[in-house]
Amino acid sequence: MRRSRWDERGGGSVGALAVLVVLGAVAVVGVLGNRDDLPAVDLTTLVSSSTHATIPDAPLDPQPYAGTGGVVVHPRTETAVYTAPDADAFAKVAPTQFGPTWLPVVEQTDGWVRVLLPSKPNRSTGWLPDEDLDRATSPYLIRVHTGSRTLELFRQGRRLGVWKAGVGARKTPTPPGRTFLLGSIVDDRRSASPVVLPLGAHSPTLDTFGGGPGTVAIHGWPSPDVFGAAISAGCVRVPKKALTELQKVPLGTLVLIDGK
Amino acid sequence: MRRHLVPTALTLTAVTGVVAFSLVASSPVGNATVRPSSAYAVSADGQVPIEKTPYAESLDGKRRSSSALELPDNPLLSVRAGTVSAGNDAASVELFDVTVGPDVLSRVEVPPELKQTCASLPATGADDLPIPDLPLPDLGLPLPAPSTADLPVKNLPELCNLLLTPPSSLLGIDAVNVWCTGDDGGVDIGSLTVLGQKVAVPATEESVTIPAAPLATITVNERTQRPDGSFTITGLTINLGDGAEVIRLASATCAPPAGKPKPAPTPQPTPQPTLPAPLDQPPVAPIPTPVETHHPVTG
Repeated sequence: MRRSRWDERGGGSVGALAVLVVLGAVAVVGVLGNRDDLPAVDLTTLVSSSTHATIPDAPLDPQPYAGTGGVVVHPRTETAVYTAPDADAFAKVAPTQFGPTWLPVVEQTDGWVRVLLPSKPNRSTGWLPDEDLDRATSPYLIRVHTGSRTLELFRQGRRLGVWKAGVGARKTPTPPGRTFLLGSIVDDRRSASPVVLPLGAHSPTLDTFGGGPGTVAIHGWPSPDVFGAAISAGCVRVPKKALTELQKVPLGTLVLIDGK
Repeated sequence: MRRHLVPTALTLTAVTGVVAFSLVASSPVGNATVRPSSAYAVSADGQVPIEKTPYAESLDGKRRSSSALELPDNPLLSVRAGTVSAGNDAASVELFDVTVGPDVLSRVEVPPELKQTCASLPATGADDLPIPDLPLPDLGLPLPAPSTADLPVKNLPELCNLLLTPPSSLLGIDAVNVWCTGDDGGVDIGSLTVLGQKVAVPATEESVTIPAAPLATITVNERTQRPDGSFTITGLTINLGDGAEVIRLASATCAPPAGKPKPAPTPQPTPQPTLPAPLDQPPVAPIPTPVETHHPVTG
């Protein structure tokens, strides 16, 4: 055991500290600065963030495994999405996707909320002006563990259930990180398990799947042997009891996927 | 590690640090709670989440200790032993033999042609040979598509040496001691090795980041002084794959003992450990109405 010496790396640290001071000052100015009225944005020039879109300019989620306060927002009209508060618009989001669009708030500042987006790449986020938004709270949290191949459902921090789940196979993994419940649909073309809950995430290895954009979803499966197996093309297959409970969960609810 | 890259890498990590700090600083503040003196040896967030273990806390100021280290079965992290204690505005952690990414390069299958090239390297002039950019197999670590270009080697002979006589781990730390008393504390770190190479650890100064990028960034001696009077010091924070996995080693929090509880405490609302309530609680979101439509999903 020994105490190491600070001066072993002093030269590089001085430069780093200078950058820290400068950027710290910039950050403070940014926080304290006043927000001017937003310039008008021509929404027709912007790509709509949906499960079908790929928007490479979207800033990525800085805390992909963190929880949130449960706040979800619904844009009442088509709304521009910005890279940062008072910065450039890079996309727009529509009031409906599969049903009404509800997006989870992962960060907020004066007059702005940062939300997870349903478009590719995974972990895309964007900032919305806190106007023309309906706000609500989801008391639920869904956790998917690809290691133990289980799904847990929480309400107000209390676990309502844990079920074995079929998760992505090694070559088609269920993408880790935080995403959200994007829709609740009944797809009669899937006669064996018509209830599908699409998420805001996509397969990291399949650009398309079955003619779709590779949307990852939670859904049922007719035979129980898949539950507890790494077997799917990315989706999370759950037993009927779990699916019944999950259908009561509001759209926009956070889904945390990890390798535990 | 290439010497001329160190200042640049350190600057980059500093920039990352400021951005991270800004984000953390701008996050909504949760409800205030009584923060006791506490200590833990290991915790992790990310693809392999690990609860604080062993963990000790003291609300009343009496000293409590634990050596019950319980790590989940995982390919990423192993620790031989850890002891934590927390008491009257004091806490400490002792941690031994931490290994991150054990046998990480032993499992790499070196292509036959590279083996052949390595075996026939000339005695001189080989330093100028280019380093092949070969994809590495899944290392069991949360790193995005690693390749030989990510390894900290500066020429082909070094790469050959690393792949043919692989080190025992990605990161190895033989011992960490962290302690705090009141609003002061300290960190002692034994030897730190990154892919078998010993790295200098400036442990006695506050919040220093050691770049082992792009594999990992290691922050030493992080300190947090909070408005409620509590103080936390964390020995090492290892960030793998740009946040895909964040491991915290040896963290001690000092706080004065809480006042005696009232005889008849008022009932508290149901705690929400995973979802702190926002300050202005909007209404509960509606239960969705299923929409009949067709959308192919990944099955």
